[in-house]
Amino acid sequence: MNEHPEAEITLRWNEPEVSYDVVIVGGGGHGLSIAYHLATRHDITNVLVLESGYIGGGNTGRNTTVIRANYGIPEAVRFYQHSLERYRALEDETGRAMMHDRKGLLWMAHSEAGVRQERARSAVNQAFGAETVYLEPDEIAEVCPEVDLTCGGGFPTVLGASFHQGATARHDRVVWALAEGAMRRGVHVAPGTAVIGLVHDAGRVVGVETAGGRIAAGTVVSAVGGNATVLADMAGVRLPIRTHPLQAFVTNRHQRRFDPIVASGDLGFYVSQTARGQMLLGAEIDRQPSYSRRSTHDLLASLSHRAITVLPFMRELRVLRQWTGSCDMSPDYSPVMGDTGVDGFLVTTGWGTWGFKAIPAGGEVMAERIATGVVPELMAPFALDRFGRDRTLADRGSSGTH
Amino acid sequence: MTGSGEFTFDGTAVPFDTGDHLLTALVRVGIHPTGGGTLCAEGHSPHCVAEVDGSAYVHTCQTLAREGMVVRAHPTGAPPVLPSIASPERPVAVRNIHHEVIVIGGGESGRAAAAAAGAPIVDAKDGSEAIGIYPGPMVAVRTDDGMVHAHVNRVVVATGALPLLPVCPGNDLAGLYTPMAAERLTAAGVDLGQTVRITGPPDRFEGDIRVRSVVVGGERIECDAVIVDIGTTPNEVLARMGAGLAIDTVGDAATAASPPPCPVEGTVCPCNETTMAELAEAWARGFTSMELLKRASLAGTGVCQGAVCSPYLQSFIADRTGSVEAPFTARPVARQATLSEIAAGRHHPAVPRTSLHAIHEAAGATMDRLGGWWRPWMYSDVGAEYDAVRNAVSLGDVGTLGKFIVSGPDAEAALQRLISTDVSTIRPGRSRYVLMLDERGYVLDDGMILREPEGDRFFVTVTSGGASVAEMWFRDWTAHLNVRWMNVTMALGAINVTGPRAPELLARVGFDETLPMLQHTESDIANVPCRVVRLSFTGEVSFELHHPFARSGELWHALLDAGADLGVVPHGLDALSRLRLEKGHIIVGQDSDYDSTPRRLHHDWMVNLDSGNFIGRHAVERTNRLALDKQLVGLESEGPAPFEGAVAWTPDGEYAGYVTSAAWSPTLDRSVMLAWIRLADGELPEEVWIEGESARRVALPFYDPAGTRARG
Amino acid sequence: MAEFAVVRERIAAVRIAATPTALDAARWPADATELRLAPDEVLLLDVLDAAAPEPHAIVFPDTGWVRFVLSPAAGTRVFEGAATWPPPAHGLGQGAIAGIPAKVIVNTDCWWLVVQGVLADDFEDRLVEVLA
Repeated sequence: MNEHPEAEITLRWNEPEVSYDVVIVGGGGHGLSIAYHLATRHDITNVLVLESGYIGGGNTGRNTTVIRANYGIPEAVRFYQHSLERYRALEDETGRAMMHDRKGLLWMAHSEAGVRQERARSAVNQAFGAETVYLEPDEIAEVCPEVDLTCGGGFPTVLGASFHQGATARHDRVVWALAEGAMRRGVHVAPGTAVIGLVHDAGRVVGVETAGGRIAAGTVVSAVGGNATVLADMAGVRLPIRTHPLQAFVTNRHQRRFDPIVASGDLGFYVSQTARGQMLLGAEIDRQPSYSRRSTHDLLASLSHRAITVLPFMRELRVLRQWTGSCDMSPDYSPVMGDTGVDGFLVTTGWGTWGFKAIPAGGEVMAERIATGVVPELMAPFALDRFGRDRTLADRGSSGTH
Repeated sequence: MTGSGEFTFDGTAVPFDTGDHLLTALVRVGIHPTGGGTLCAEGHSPHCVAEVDGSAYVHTCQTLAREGMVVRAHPTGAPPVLPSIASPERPVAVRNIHHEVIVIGGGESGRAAAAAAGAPIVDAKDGSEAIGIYPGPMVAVRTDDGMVHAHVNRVVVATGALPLLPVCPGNDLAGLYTPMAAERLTAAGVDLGQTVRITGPPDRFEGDIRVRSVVVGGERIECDAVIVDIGTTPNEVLARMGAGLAIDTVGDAATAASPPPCPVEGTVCPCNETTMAELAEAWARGFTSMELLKRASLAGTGVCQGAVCSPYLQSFIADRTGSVEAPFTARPVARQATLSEIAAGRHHPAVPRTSLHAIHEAAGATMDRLGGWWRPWMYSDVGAEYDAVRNAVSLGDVGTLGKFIVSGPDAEAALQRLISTDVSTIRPGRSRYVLMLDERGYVLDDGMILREPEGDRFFVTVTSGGASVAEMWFRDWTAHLNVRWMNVTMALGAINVTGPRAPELLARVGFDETLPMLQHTESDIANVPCRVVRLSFTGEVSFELHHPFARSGELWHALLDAGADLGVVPHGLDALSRLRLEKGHIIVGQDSDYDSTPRRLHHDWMVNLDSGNFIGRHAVERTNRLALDKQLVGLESEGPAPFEGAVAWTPDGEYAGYVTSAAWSPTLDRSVMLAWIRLADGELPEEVWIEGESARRVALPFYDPAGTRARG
Repeated sequence: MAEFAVVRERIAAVRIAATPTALDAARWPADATELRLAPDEVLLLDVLDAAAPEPHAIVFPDTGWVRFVLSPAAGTRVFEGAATWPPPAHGLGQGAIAGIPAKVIVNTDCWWLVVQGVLADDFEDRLVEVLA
């Protein structure tokens, strides 16, 4: 199915009232997913989602829409595999096409070190239900004949790992479907409303300050991207997060022919063809931490060069648009979800380059935590206090590319 | 007429005159490249794009016609096909230029600014298209002769104004021109037929394929062509894209403009064929801001990136809200370029080659990128290489090790700060295997510290590939101390002479000292000045010979020649990895992970908590008080070696961990492994299952636990 | 290529790490070309040894450098095609050339491009490419 002007989803906006059971800061995929799951799973609808800009305008709208579960540690594989399965179910549940498209993700290695990494990741994926198979170079050629297996002679392909369930979805539609589902059930969403402070009472966070005034909240959830540390600081919570830019670009539209998502860890690059026919390219995060969303020529040129090394047919494609998002990176390359040690203040952050894939599951587990007070099993390993308890979740499978 | 050359359009020959753009030649013979739509001849309107010589989305108005060009219309109702797999490579040159100021735009205001600043002009009219303003500022410019990268201190944006394209029914007919297009085409001798100029928004254009009449203000005018002179909008997209950089915007690009009247019907976004009705539908569905409206309607997301529709989106919103919203975010690129053009001049990261690289290649070694270096993975027979080390003597290229010289009154204090051992107890002429921890108490790197006979001078090695991180780490943490650092990683070659017959080989080339384990000395070996370090990674007697980079070849050959009858052969990394695994030696980065405390690695013996305030000390003290959750352990099995990364299960089928290193040990006749294994109820399992084979947890090392062979 | 001949040669060099003040005050052998790589580091080309400028200085005979000698025209061409920074009018400049860390020494009659030996093969390939 191709994209077309919106003719299904309807959004209804609200001016914030003075008090809610739950105030979610951040109207991106995660914030709206929490609201959606609160409303649909727990019948909690006295909920406000505050968004400083427009919904889905942060990292949800700036990522490269890859949905995969082939991460490097059991806790992550379980979580993302669940999220991946929930993505498919969400289309039926909301009745809104998210243009979820199972394409298969082909990950190539061009060195012994790359091979070791792919084998290790594949092993843990297999063990926890994220089906992965190895491909020899001639099999890669069958899956994706466009690949130059020698990569211009400089990077002969040694092995491929194929994660069949790798998919993409249209990010805007994910956001809008979740927003619509939440709004229909009574959740309020207020765009253009920035949080400028938190309200404290006896060591508890009991509300938020906006330019329009104070809003009381039973629970405040930070689902902020890019400025997560700033908001947490208002709550007196220090997050071990550094924000790095992540850049991407698309080419003009072409008829769909390029089926899989293709990635190379050694070259640090990945590409897929969107439903609209654009070739969508991404790379690793910028090394230098920054809140900047300014795109650079250096990344554009370097990524283009890597892309045409692996896929020479792309040489004559034209760059349509490049953009930059902000990746909140935790020290162990795993997300941070749940309690913060400050009553009434929960966070979901550390979504690095893997936030989009986690939208369904991330919202589901956070909603359950808010509704029941109990930390769900899928969420528990990702608690903030793991850093103090020396129970970090070093995930080599997540580092580098998307 | 006969032109000075010919190209083809969808197989039909089209003549052209020298200096014609493709569009000019096409319109001259009555062809509209996309069938219809207003042409601007300035590279903004998407209505002139076509495939040229296999490359789609080429603005025919910006492309000079050349003999034999193959031009094809894009398919109707679908985007162009992707290029064929075998599309040819066209090298693109890049030219870097440096100026104080550069001016983008060659109109009146641009020329004035250029004259005032003595600055060059980038003008799309001359075929120089600025694709973006980037930090620097750097202006990337596409030309037919390649890319120009202009590095400047200030950019003047003088890009003038964009013509408004009409939005009304029939705006997809042929025969519609902006004033500039009409002027340029007429100047090139193109007869547009009977033209009519309209200066107000048209009600509609009428015709079948070509316009036959225009209705404006209720009045129908018959014509062959319409010059749509309905106003302009500032062309300030480059200025918005570069906001925050050193940019001045001048002339029409800098003027404030109110949006045009809001059209009633018609296609507003020609790139995606979004209609006014669809905008209204999206609005009614709650997509009531510029950015949401763009995403919901897709208007502004096509080839022209909003050049056509952006002012109309503003007027559409203003009509409904009474206020003019800013245009949507301006993102690069402002003009399109191919990936080849963008990538011009780029290289993949250069991977360093050791002083022995050419010798390895000549010996037929399989070279691989590892730890940031080209290294020999295997020469010809990993088994023979292994045997040579265990039973005779072998050479390994260890020139990739990170290497530093440290000197100064505070040299010892600096190392005490960085290293988790008591450096003061390393005596002159001695060395020690050490760990560097980060602030979290996790292992950052491992290496050797050698104290020079002078006492206040040290030689430090770290992991291959760890040198640049280590250097930053060293300098950051010791900037306040009176210490000199020199990174000599790239300045020294290093050869590991290892195996039971290593002393015999070295004696033949001039080194017959008895050098005890973990001591070092300086000596000429085969006439090459060497620092000789007695240590062992392979488990056999080993001497590292650090020597001047340029002398590696002669030293290597002298050793091979002198040891031919001893069975000396070089070993690659594959063999080395197996040899060290039998000794249980870890490779940082392969066997260690981000959260590897010394205790988890079984390396707590390398941490001296009495040796002062080294980095990571407090974290180690704190984490040592927490229950242990996992450890790197030795495993062995009778079955074949699993692959590195294989998952380990407890006998009960619970996840236990994974293998980081594995090899079949010919010496021990079983498989040996290092693996991260989780503790259950405070206990490590005695047995795990890996790839369907049982593996026993055993003490390390697997080979020669008493260490008698390494001591010789 | 005839127009743009490139001569590749190994250099005798001495690298010295010392305090910035000691390096500022030091006098080097007359035939040395001094490249101040950093406040605390200097590279002396075309000498085999040098006196320590202070007691704790590290004086290191360094064979790990390779010099490419180009005509001024070729040097200009290399910068135009492969460097994002302008060459100095005279003397030392440092930065990436064709993606490889390099030193340039602009002399009146010729330019020297000095790179680490471990990257010299790649550098040479890239020089040839940009001069083609």
